[in-house]
Amino acid sequence: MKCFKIMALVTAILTTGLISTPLRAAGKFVVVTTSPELAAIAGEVLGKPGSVYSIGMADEDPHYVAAKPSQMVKLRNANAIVYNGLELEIGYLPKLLEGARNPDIMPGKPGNLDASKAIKKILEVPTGEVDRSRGDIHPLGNPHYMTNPYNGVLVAKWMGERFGELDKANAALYSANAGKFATMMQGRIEQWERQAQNLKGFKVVVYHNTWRYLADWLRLDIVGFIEDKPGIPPTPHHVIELEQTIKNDNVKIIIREVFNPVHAADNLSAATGAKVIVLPSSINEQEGVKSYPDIFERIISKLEAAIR
Amino acid sequence: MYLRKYTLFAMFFVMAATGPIFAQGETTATGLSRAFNPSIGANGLFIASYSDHSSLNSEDFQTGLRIQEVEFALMSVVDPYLRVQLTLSIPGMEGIEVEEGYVQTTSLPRGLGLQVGKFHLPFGKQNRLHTHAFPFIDAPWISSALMADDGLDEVGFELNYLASLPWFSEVAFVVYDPKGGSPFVQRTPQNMGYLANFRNLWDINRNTTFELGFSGTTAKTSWEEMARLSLPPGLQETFADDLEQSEQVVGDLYILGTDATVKHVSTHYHGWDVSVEYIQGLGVFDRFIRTQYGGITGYGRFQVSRRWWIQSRGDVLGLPLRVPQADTDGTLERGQTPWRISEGIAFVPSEFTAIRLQYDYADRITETPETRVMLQLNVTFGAHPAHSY
Repeated sequence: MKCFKIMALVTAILTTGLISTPLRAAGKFVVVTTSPELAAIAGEVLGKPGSVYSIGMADEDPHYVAAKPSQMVKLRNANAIVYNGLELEIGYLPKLLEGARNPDIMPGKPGNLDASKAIKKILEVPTGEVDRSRGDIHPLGNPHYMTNPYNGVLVAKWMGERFGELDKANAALYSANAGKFATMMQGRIEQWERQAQNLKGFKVVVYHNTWRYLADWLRLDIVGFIEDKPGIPPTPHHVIELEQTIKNDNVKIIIREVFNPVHAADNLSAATGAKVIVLPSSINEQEGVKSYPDIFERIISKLEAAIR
Repeated sequence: MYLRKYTLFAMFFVMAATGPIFAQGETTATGLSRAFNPSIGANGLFIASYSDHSSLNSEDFQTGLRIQEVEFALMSVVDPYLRVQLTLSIPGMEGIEVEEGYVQTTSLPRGLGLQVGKFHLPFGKQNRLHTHAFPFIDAPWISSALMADDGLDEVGFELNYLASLPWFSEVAFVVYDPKGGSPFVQRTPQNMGYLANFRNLWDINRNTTFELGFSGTTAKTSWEEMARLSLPPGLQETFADDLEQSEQVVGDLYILGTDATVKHVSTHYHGWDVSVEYIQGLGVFDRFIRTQYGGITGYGRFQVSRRWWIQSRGDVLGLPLRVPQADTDGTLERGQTPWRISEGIAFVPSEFTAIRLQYDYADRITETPETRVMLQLNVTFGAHPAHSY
């Protein structure tokens, strides 16, 4: 009984004492994002008045992020949550928001920011009946739109507007920062497009359908997926079929991400002679990829090297 | 009696989730749009089991095929201030019951949350889990023997608070109405249950966390119930008739618990977790501690590859090395400690399906230890709520 009373006393003190603790560091506009690339762009837009934290890790599959309670603490103190949307975070974000108990960032509130709202063209929105016999299909469309740098620019401008609405004192700064980022990116995009001229129509096989937006931008031709269906590991039968496709279409490159299983891609490479390259879809996923433009710098250079 | 109460309870929540039937105003701004329908999910657990003690009268010792549980869940946002969750379960295909039905605030400021309805109480690590989310096919003995078959799952209201600290630190207080089937059996107006939970979680590094929790609850109980709690699962049902004839003495039951978990989330399909949970019950009758019981469970799980897990568990009851005398046929002796080890392997082809094989070797203080093997198919379809950590 004594233990019970002591515990009740401790919890009562915590409840009454800490409830008056200031929630946010003074002067900082706190943004939590679900991915490192969204965090990087948010950091560019916010500049010094902001503080940014990413829930998702660089080498973590964005479909399977663990909803750690420590992330609820980050969200509890946030002015805004920026997430990819299109149900990419459906497996963990609702739980985190529920646990954070921060009314400012709950769905429907101004601090709840779905970055997919900035995207003009969502690819692969399924038509007809959708069920899970098609794997972990995204009913609202392919959510990996950040692999097209034009979409990164759209997201930055959209962030500038949304952050400005939430933090009016710094609205002009956010808008200016977003503009600077867009101008910088425009120059880089033109350079990458010149470098990637030879990639148009180049046939590739990819592990997961992360690269549809990249392929749309660079006019790559994705002829097959190692995952027969999204989120479902390949069957031996599918691998045999894919091996034939690679041989028939003379595919030279198999693309996977750092968190994709290695064996299926390596076995296909050994059987067909196609080269496996690991491309970054996020920041810090590979050594030297420190910013959003670095992702495309690395992708272009790796693809160029692979087709030489 | 309970079935009728829970049916009415279920109807209330279904109506609350599907339409403004009880609204005091006579107009509506939303009409009958299907866009506002609740998310609906369902789960089924199917088991094939073998026990070399299947002559004993308990589900724990069954040999054969059975449906462990079917569960339906409805989830919806009620309005800008509340969300609702309703979980109906059919354990063993024997009657439908409201496993959980509660509303939860979404707009309270400063890290506060309020929950009202019927729900798994925030006691320890595993009490809040639904059957399909158990780390093993069945519940740990500390839940099924020391609390109730389905854990502490009661009607009440909870106030919780997420502290503004650098680590996750949450406190929760619950006032609840104890029901039959839980260790608190005296349902009188004076018998309200009280519970406090204090849970902390620290990031050791970006992939690994350490969690430490303390829980305590109290309500009225009876000497008969305390005698039942001293028996291992399976034997509680066997000796139910003897226990019902025992003396009806009312006292206070205090249950205290602590749990610790280290969890590693791997980005390359090699995650693992190790958890240990201890529960101690103290029965106070006439101001003296007349009886106490306790137990510990610990488990470890390791992800071998993307779709395969191996896992191991141990349960010990009769702690602290003291089993109170029970008015049974004399098979129990003071100082005995029932124990069980479980080894398992799980194949998880997708996040909606799991197949688990489990081997148990248990000494329940019967004449010979028991061997049991279970194979479970766990299937979820429809809306799939976000995963707990």
